Amino acid sequence: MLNLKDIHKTYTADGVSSEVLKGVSIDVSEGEFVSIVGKSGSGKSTMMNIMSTLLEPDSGSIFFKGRELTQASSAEINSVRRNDISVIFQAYHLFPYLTAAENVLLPFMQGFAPIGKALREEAFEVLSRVGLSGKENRLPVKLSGGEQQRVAIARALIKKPSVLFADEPTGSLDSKTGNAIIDLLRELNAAGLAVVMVTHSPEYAKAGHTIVSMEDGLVSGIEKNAG
Amino acid sequence: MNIFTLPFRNLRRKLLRTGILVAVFTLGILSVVLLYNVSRTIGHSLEEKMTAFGANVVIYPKTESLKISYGGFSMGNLAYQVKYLPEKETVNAIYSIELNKNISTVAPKLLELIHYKDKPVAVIGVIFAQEMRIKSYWSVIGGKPGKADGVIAGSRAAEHLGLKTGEIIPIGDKKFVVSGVLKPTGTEDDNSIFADLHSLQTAVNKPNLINYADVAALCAGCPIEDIVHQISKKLPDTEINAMQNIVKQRMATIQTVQHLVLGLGGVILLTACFMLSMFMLASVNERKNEIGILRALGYSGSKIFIIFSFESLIIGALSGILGYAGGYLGSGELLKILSLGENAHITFNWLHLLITVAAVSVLSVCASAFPALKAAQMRPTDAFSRI
Ligand SMILES: Nc1ncnc2c1ncn2[C@@H]1O[C@H](COP(=O)(O)OP(=O)(O)O)[C@@H](O)[C@H]1O
Ligand SMILES: [Mg+2]
Repeated sequence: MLNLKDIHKTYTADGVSSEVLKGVSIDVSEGEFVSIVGKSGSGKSTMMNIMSTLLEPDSGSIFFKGRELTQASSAEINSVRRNDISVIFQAYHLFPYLTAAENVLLPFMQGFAPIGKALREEAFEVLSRVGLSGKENRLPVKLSGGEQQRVAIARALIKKPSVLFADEPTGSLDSKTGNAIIDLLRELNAAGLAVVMVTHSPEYAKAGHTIVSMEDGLVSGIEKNAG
Repeated sequence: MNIFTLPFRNLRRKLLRTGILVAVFTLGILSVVLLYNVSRTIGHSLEEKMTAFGANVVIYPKTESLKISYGGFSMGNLAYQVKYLPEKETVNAIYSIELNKNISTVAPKLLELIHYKDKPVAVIGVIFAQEMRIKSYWSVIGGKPGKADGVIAGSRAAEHLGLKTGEIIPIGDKKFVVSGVLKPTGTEDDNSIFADLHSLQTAVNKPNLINYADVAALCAGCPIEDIVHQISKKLPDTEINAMQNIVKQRMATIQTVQHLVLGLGGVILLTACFMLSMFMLASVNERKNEIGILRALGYSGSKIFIIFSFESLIIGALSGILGYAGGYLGSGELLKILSLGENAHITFNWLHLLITVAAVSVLSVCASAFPALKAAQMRPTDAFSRI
């Protein structure tokens, strides 16, 4: 479904260039759970951003459902972001002045037509799916870190994407809450959603069918996980 | 909830910031509206006062011949044939032009040569109420004519003919009484006798006839050419003479005042725009994260632009309404304080309100165009790649 080939990316900051990705290839099949592990600074987030269309590579190709995204117009990219892929981050990036349900509805707030009742009910339903029934009208400050990440996941889910990208989703959570989030991702994956997750933790990485190890801008190993 | 939810929520969330911006913008608009209204009214009353020093448009019958007179010396008229205008029709026509609000006074006149004590003297039939409005420099010794048969004598005419108050002058088949004598004015008025127009018309059997009409037109807000044009359309058989120099001088005074005032308001508005621009720029930087998330959710650059511009638009529209309403109420109060209230031409005008709101909205959107554009061009990773 998603195939990245020979991706190169160089950052230039303060006149110093550093090649962060030196020819990385990763494939994600439909419904697959891919974990990306590696030391800090090895280029995981950069790769993740390129996979999720948030960043353009310097060279290489990205095929998503047969479409070459490096050649796509910005309108096409926006459409992919609206309909097909979702991202969550270590920082939950919720809008502090919107309630949980309103945050979940953000993807549908781009139009001039008001959001209908059906969608609002859907938002409540998705929130209950991630375990937040009864907390739909709370502002993010009234939610714990784990709950905030669940809202972010609900916001990612409501458009029914085919793939969810998660960049260290447990990075700011204690291990118990972190475990619960991983379990939730597993559950969603079991229901058919492809998941690509960056993590520090070898334990969490085991959730993936495939574990990609990165080192210094290159893929250093691909491990298939039977269980 | 739709695309406008985010800007509305942000306005509400940053109530202090919104309040400051609306206040400054409102102040700018309020001062423009207030100062404009007041200066217009003062301009009007100023002009009205200046009108008292003479008419600026003269309407008389069309003649083929040239008037042979200069500097008050008459050298006769080559093809002498007096033409008249119908009084009622002429006056009504003047008051029926589109710009009739600008017609301050119409003073029709009938001229009649009589002989009194074997000396020739000109009798001018006037409507005293109208005449006094354009001749504030008149000062009458004795009394103003209280009755229809009263006349006022110019100073030289009185001296020349030895006229005294109470003296009876026969004109045509009527008797008129001298009710007062004018102090010297230095104008042609000194040589003439003034009688009530309608009494004179009856006395000399020229009902409803006049030789010419003086018109005092207020020219604030419209050029005298337009007024002349409109009168000439209504009165095709007349000659209309606008005293351009008088008009231009009056207009220049009023326009200087108005330009000054609008300039000042403009500076306040410019400051407001600058502030809005700065606040918006700060807001865009502060909300980088939000912009990144929205881009990641598939919001296009133009949607981001709309979100930020709409915030400014609301600030502009709100200020426009408050500023116009405040300016309207404020000018009334201010004019009362300046005791110019009775001359006030201030009316609440929905169209002006609409124009004000639209103009300020456009202005505020323009002022925030740079920050909004900056937001629209932000890429999602600008917000979170470096965390
Ligand atoms: N926007 C950027 N500009 C310049 N350098 C960057 C930027 N983002 C990341 N880097 C650098 O690229 C390298 C890889 O970063 P990243 O992809 O975030 O690695 P990881 O997620 O594996 O820790 C790091 O050295 C980081 O400092
Ligand atoms: Mg990272």
